Amino acid sequence: MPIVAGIDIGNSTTEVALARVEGREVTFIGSALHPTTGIKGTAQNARGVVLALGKALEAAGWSREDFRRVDLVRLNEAAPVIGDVAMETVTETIITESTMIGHNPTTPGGVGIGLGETVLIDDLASAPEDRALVAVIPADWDYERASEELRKILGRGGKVKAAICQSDDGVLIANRLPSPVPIVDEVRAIDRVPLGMPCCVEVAPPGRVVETLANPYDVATLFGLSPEETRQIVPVTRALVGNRSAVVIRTPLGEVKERSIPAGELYVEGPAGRRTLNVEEGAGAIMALVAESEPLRDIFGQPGTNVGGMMERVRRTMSNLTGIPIGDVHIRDLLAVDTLVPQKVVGGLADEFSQESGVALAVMVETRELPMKHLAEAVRTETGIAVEIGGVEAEMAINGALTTPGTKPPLAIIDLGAGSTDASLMRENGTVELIHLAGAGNMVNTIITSELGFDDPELAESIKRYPLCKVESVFHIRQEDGTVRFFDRPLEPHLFGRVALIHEGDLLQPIPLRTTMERVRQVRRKAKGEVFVTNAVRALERVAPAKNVRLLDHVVLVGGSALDFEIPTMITDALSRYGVVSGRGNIRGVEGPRNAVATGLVLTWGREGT
Amino acid sequence: MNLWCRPAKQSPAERPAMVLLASPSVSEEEILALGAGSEEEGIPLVWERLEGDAASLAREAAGRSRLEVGVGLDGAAGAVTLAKFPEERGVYLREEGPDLPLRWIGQAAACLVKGEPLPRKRKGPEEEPRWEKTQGFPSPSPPEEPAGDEAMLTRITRLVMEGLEQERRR
Repeated sequence: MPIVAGIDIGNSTTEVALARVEGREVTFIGSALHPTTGIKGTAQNARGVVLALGKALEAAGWSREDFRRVDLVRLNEAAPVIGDVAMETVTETIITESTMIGHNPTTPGGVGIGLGETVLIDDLASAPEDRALVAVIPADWDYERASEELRKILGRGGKVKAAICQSDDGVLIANRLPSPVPIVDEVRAIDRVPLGMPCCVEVAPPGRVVETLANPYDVATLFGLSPEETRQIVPVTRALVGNRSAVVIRTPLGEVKERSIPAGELYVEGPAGRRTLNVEEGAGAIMALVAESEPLRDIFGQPGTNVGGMMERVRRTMSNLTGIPIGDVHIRDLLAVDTLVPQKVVGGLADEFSQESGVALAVMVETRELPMKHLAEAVRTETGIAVEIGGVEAEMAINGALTTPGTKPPLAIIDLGAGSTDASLMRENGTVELIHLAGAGNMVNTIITSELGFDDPELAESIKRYPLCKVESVFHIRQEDGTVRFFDRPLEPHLFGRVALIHEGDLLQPIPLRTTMERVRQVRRKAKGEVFVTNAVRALERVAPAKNVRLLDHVVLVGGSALDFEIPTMITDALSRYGVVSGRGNIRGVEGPRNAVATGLVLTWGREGT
Repeated sequence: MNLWCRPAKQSPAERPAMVLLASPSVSEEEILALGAGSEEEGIPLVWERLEGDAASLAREAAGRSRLEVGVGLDGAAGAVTLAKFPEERGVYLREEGPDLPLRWIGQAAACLVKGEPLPRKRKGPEEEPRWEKTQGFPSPSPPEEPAGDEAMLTRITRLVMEGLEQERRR
């Protein structure tokens, strides 16, 4: 009775299904998975294959090295696709003369609007008494001394209308004045605040945001700006939107501009020839062009631009991997998503960030084939087991997916991976169609990272994978669905008040960002929706009969990202509008959405191999 | 007069405030420095003298505070705790050594009242970075637990890492 191991090497995991095959009788005796070693399709994968196989042997009750038990290893003909993801920022705010402060300190002082000329607190006493002033207070003035000085000036009729303060002393100083003035504090680069210039400080009441300084016409009114100057101030007011406090200083040479970074042009080649589009036109226009140009022959980026660099990088990686000349590597799909990227304002005084627009791009490269023969040879050498390369991945996946209880052909599957979203359709007569689309789990991570403005791939993966909570007290958290949970042990100080992620075993990981749970949740769900829901619909449109998704009955979701706690329901929800039954697969009734291809490899051997 | 940080005797009893109990060895300047931290966060503080060590003073203070947050200061250490914090676990926050970050302690106590993340300790007017890498937290495990020895090894490693992390915090 031969024992067959079906092994599926994916972008991120290697999966094994181990079975005893006798004629048409297939009895599964073990399955396992291990992270893929090296880039999919290369000989480096052999190590991961051996480890995964060992685990499966163990699951079947044998020792890990007992490779002699296995008569045949069947590897999938890995789809020769790799994906790459990149972010392109489309706009950038640059302030050549420092003219605004908009860093949103947690505790500004006072409330209201103060308009005056900037003057260093050391020079307040000698400033003309009839002139409205804004005091600039460096950190070497502590709050006692600073407030005493301000009281003295105000007492003799001086007009101090507002203050800008380097230390976190805004509330302390405001509390010590006879009538509080607005004070913006924690301005790190206080020495770069231009002196002797007209300046406006606004602090909104708690729970509100600045209105005057976020409105270009109000700023024009305050400073008497011409229509042309008002146009120039727009990037500043835009950067101040949503802040509780803000400062705008008008300098004579002050020039603020919103520069467009040449993100580059995309050249999309389809049946109708080559068409050109600027990346700045945004995701909507890009995706429309991609859809019109199907089937894509290739995509190029404008040489010397960001997008050109990205396209070349993907081609080079693929070329190195396969040994195919770079000119024969073709980009077959592209997914673009509009994003907002917090970017540091060039020329700001206190590390201000401005929401700039950007485009996230994922691309998919297809070549003729991956060097599977080398890999098969490496596995054979390491284990001593005969290795054969099984059929097409899509066919294997569908055969595996059909072991999900409640399914029958015709059946479509969507494989939600890390590098790509694949779809295949098996018709009633058994023929299979397959497509690969760019954009999957890795792109979700990229969007989360850029929209929340941090730089930690592991944190992005965690945000994608785990539900959120807010630590509301030492003993309880509020979860993102609004429910409250209590803990027996006090939660640690580094978690207190923070937005956190709930890992397995109720381990809480704080998110070290000044943000709200709602914002993180919204970014996470938007990223998942724009990648996976968009791709699910796009993929089904391509494989469905007459390109009509409504003609499909059953859609089974498989692959690593189908394990996600919300992606399957988001897709099920979107597809229900087309009258399609869809849901997470349950391979062999026990494996969940995993192991479809590996299972298919074993099952098809029973049919084609003997 | 400073309405944000004053002796208990001068404060109306019904006004909600955090309570600071300070041993006689603590100077009034130190009390005011701590009070500046809570004032900047917008939470009033009342203080009183009492003999004792920082931890027991903090517990007593938390019991007296209408906001259920208490601060204890002795000559060598500062402590912050909550009325409902289990006594056998000591206090919630504790700082000791020369150069006590008094203003930070006041700020942190106020943040406990407000339910906001504790501020970062800082010396100068340094801007808090928007983002800071999480330290000592295990990276997400693969979706499935590895089988056999590996699972055991992973669990042991994780437990040891957690233990070390807790030890480090203490």
